[in-house]
Amino acid sequence: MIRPTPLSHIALLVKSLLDDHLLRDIWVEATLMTVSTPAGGHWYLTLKEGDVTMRGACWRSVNIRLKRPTEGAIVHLHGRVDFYGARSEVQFIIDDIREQGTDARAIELERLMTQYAALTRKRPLPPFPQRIGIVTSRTGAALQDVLSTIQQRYPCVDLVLAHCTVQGPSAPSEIEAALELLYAESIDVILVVRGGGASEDLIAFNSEIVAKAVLRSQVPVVSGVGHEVDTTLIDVVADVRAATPTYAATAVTPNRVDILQHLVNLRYTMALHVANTAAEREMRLDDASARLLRAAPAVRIATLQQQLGYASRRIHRAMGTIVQQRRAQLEHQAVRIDALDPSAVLERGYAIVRAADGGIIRSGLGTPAGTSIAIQFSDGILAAQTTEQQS
Amino acid sequence: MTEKPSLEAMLRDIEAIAAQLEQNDLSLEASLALYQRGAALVEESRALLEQAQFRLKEISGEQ
Repeated sequence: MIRPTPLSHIALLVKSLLDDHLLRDIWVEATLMTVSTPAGGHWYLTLKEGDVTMRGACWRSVNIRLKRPTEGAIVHLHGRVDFYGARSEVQFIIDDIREQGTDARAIELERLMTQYAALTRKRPLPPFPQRIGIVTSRTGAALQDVLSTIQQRYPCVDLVLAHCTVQGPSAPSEIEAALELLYAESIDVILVVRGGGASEDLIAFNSEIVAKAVLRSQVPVVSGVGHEVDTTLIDVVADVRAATPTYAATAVTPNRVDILQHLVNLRYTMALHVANTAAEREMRLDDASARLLRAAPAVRIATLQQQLGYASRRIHRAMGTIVQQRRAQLEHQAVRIDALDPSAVLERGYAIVRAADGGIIRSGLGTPAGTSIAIQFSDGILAAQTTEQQS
Repeated sequence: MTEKPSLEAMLRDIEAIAAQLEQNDLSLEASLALYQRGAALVEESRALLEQAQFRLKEISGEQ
């Protein structure tokens, strides 16, 4: 039956093996490749001598009486070797630092960085690139990182790869040539990337040839060289410095999920505005149609009919009045006629001729000669006899 | 630059259309016509975004 040894036991064992007087109380010489002084106050250094690098730590309790060394410094360090189990890392715990001089190359790089920092353009990146140029090795992990990032975020682009070697003596001029090839293309933005490695491996990206080539670019250049801690000259001149190739790919591409969501929102907004416009027009239409209806012929006809009815009733009433007035007048006249006395006529010189029987003779015709008649005057009757018959 | 319709231009157009519609000073017919154009651009943009795979070409100065 297997009884596994806990990792913590191994770490303790390694630590105890390192607890040797040969590794305590010793002086070493190294170049400080990196000097990191985070907020906690401890210093973390990268020591390098030849091909060997080792982490170094100088605790706050010790370093408060020391002068902070600069990157590139060649130093003598006093301390002991320790094993840091959490990261399985051998590290040098420093209790004294004596600067011996400075790495001339590190000094020169520092000077170049200051000089070129003034020339950088820091142009904005195109928000929606269509063609992206990539300067890197076609076989490197950096290219794979870039491709998979772009595939995931924004695959609707054309990528143009200009291959070059990214380390070794020919690297600077190859990087320059690759950039020049892309300058002849129609490209929106250029990535210059390389995966992490020792500082020595990134040296091509500190060359002035490369820096000058980057500064000739008409389109923005994004650098993504090494690990997050590495800063190279190209990072200084690039329009955007990304910490790694993956970050560089992220910097030049929008996330299509965001854009698709934005499109959905825009479409909703547009539909909402149209619906609002329609609703508002409908309200106005209702209002107008109510006004129109008030002025419509049917309504006017009804109004006129009403007016007509009213007028006709008025006429009817007026007619009734007139008829009554006429009737009253006629009755009045009849009264007047009845009131006429025939004697009044006789008084004006007229006479009534009567036959013997008292009947009124109305015509001269048909009365034989010798007929006795009576002529009535207003004041008396005269008896007479006709002498001849008229025919 | 390239023969593809530019997503940037399309998004700009769609945003302009949305802003115009928001003004609410168009006739209903004009609004609808504008909306249809906007919706078509949205579809076109979406189709472009949904392209499944980038195109990769390598150039060299060796030929």
